[in-house]
Amino acid sequence: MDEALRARIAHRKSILAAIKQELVERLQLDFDPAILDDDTFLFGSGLALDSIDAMELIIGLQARFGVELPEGDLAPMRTINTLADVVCADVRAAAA
Amino acid sequence: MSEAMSSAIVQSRSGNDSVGAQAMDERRDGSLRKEYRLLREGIGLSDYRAMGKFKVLGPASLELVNRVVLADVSRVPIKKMLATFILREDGGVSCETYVANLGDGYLLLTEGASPAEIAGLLANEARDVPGAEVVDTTRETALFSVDGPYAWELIKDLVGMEILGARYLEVVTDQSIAGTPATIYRAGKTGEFGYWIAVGKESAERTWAALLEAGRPFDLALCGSEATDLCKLENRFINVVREGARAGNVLELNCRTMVSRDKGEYRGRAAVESVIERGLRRRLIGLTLERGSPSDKLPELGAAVSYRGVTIGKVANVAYSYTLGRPIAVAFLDVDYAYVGLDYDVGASCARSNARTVSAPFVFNKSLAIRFQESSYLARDSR
Repeated sequence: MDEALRARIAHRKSILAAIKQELVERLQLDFDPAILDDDTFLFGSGLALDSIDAMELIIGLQARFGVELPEGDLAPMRTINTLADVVCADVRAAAA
Repeated sequence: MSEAMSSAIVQSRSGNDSVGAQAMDERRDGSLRKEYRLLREGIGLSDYRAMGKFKVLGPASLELVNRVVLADVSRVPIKKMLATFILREDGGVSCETYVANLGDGYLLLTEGASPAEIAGLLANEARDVPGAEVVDTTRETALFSVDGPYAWELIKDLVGMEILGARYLEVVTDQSIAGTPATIYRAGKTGEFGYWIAVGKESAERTWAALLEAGRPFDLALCGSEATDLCKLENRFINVVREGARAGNVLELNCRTMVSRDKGEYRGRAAVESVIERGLRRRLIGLTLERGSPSDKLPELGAAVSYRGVTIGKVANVAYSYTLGRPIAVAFLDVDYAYVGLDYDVGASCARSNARTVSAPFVFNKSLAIRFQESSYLARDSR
């Protein structure tokens, strides 16, 4: 693996780890953040979050990453990875 | 009826290069696309009678079910379901299983292994669990699936407004369709609204006819397994006969939160614990491939995924996504490489495609934007 790929993966991993920690701590989930798979679904048969949890999560991501998820926009709220997509895009936009 | 139903089953694309085969592929693609559109934009009807259906009854029913399935069933409230797997002893997937808590026992709906195989497995486990009785209701029960962003509207017309309050994986008992007692499971594997309707086999024909009749204003039509499998892939539900069958261990399917380490013995536990201790070597991730047309040849299952000439994984499922306008795949990748937003190659050097790793799911579902008070298939033209 070359250095460029290694760096991109390390960046993604750090964002995923922070999101998992935020999820578990803010929503008091009964999981160790380390066991959450990146593609774990937030609702339904995944973590089974509800609308109150979703609001908490939006607040948490804003506090931790400065990312504003529009209320009612469900596209980023599907899996841990889709949350990471939004955070990564925001970081890229800020760096540009 | 069975003939009508079987006519809806679309065969897989052949990949044959002859002109005749290509024309046949195009006709098949047309039917597949039509069925797919029903599931994504209207309502599709499928026959799930082939699923295994087993009741586990008696005071030790929880103990027996927990010995058989991966997840901890003790956390499932009455009239709720959970989706899990029955494993092989080596930790691979034997079948997919929905477990419903009926209050006086459990119902197991299984897919991916023959009902006879599951019946044998349950009977074998039951020998060690006094107080649990297994009843195979596969042949006595018919199961139909109604899926699509407007499936709720049809079901509401059939059984009343209360069904709209049912949440995903909820079991709604004591329903009636065309005078037939029915149980409705709010389930589905398309990412859209989905309702499984269970009736006695003696009422199957009548219920099927009632669904078709009530569905006529909704343009309801039959959908085959290829269309539902495509939706399943787009929404990253595990396909047990594709990626499920190719997983060396269930944890490669991103199912770690399903594992309870303190629930006691279950099939495959030693293999699962072994992987947890030593760490995963590969895991499933989604890939979008270069844009193409539906008639383009797809990569083979098992095709190599590589990075700069080094093989880092294998394709486990692939299909053309009409929504995205390009092929999509899932692949088992070396865990060091299994992250989103990276560009890899798929296939041999003579037919290589560029691929990018992407987050689950592949698509955004129309059902997520549906508001019961404001949405209607029947009124869609007048809006």
